[in-house]
Amino acid sequence: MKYSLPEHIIGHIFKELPPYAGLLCLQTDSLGTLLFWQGSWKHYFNIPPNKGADLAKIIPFLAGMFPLKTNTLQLQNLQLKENLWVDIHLMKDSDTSHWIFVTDRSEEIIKMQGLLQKVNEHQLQVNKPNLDEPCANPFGHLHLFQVATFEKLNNGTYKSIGEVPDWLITLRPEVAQKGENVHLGDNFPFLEIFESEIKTSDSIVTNHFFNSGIWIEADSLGNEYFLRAFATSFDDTEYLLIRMLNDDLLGEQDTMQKAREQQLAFENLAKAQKQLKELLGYKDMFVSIVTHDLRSPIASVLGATEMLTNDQHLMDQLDDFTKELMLGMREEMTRMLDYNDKLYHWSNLELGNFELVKENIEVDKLVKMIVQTFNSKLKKKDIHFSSTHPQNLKIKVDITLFLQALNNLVGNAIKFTPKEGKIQMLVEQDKRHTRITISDTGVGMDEEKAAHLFENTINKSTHGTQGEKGSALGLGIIKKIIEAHKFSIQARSKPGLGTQITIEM
Amino acid sequence: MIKKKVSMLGSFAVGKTSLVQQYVRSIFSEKYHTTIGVKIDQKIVIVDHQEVNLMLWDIHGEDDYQKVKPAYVMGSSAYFIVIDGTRRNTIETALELQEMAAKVSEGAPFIVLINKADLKEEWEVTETDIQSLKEKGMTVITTSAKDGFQVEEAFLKLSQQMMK
Repeated sequence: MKYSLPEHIIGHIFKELPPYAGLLCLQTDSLGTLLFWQGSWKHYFNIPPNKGADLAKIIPFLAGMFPLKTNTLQLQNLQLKENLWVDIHLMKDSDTSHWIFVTDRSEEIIKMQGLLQKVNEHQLQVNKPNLDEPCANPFGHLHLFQVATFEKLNNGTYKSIGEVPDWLITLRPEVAQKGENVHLGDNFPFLEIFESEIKTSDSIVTNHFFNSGIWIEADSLGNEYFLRAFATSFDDTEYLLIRMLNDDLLGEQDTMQKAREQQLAFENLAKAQKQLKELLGYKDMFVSIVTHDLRSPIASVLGATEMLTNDQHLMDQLDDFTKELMLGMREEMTRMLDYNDKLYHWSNLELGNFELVKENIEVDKLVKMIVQTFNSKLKKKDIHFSSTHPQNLKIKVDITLFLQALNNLVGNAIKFTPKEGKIQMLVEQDKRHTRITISDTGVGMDEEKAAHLFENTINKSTHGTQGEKGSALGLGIIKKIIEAHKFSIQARSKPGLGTQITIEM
Repeated sequence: MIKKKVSMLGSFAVGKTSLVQQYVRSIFSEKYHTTIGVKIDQKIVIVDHQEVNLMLWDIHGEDDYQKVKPAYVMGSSAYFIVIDGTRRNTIETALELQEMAAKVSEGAPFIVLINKADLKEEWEVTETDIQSLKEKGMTVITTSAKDGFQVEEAFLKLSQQMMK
């Protein structure tokens, strides 16, 4: 498309007016062959203009542009040569004619470039190691890893090499500034020890490497720095590297802290356990002593009430109320003595104040002793007691303690069996075990309760079928005795269907 | 100015760091903060009219996780062996460390500190234990880093022994 400006105006623009600084107008055919030019050709190109020349060869940026696919196209900030930047505007005049306008943008771009260069350099300068220059530290840019590197000099002092990490500048500015002849031991007393360690260690000779323990330095503000030193040799020169570990150490310190806190917690727990054990011991000893001392006075009072109540002549002279009182007193004193005895036995068992003395005893003899003990109670409730056991069977037990356990079991059976009930003691033996089972036709208990009957040493006391009172200690005593013999005991029961207790030996 | 190295030795959590902090800065923290490695604090004192720069080496506690390296004690002019009065098991570690330190420091003077005197009701260390240490020829001082009880006195006494 031709411009609609009159020809003389165009002529005036091109001929009369000073050419636009740097404006170059070019006309080509559709293939980019130069047809016409107007403006400062020499300003842009070193070769003279030549009608018929391929413009793409003169301006390489235009390669592949012809014929133009669009009516206009603008290319900006193209560097034609050193210190020369241009904008190129392309316009499709017709299918056979293209116009190209070239303008000089150098002044603006050079100004912008200067500014951009300064901004970028400033940005880069903060963290940019001078990688263009040869590194002064033979181990590389270790300061980036918070490592200060020192070369050992012949006089025993040190020289700082390479870049200095920030922590050293903050912590020991005099060391960072001094550079040479640094007495590291004066600034880091810990290193005096490390250096003497190096002398006595083979590690640096064999491995060319030796590291110190961790030490802590503080700056003037009280900030702590965790440091570790490494001594090494390279190319016949000794070096000392000091690394700040603060970031790395947080996890390790946390772990160590938790481990030691846990250790202290365990120690406190052990202490508390020991105190508790002592207290329990004192408690059992107290109970043992008190029950022992109470036995005599209780037995005395019981003896007196028994004497009085056995005197039929005296009893006949009493009114019913007083008689009931006397009989009740005897019953309570009997129970109290029994309770006291049980408490005494229990406390001694808890203290471990016994030593099993095992002997062989015939089961038959044991049964007779039990029957003799409970004869009156059995008769009183009209309970039938029977025993089934192999003839001449013997068991090896501590007779006193084991009999006490059996008596407690039979006593409970009598307590919880109603009148005219049955109690059976069955002793069986196979190749591995001997079992004693005491069964009753008593009131029974929940299956769940029976399963856990011997788990606690102290249980709640319950009254018998005729209101018989007991203590809560009997089952605990049985459990202790059975455990001491290394036997086992279990109970099975159902409400209303009686109870079975089995001791397995 | 004379510089003297004084090492703090003992089991973990006996109060070595607390004793140093109390002596150098008159501060105390209830929170237990385990020491990793070695920390060196300094305090200038006057001992027998002489100015002495005490380099206090607060060495991490001895336990299964960190063992005290004999090298740390090297060059010590004196040392403290610290025991926690509420933990009797720290006596055994203390005696082991004293034995090591005696060899390394070539006869440098030392004092046994039984720390946490402010928790006397919780003490496991008994008078018999203390007597036993004294019978071994050790100087024993009970201290409390918490309230400063006998801390100044302990450091002064050791400094005087060191300067003899």
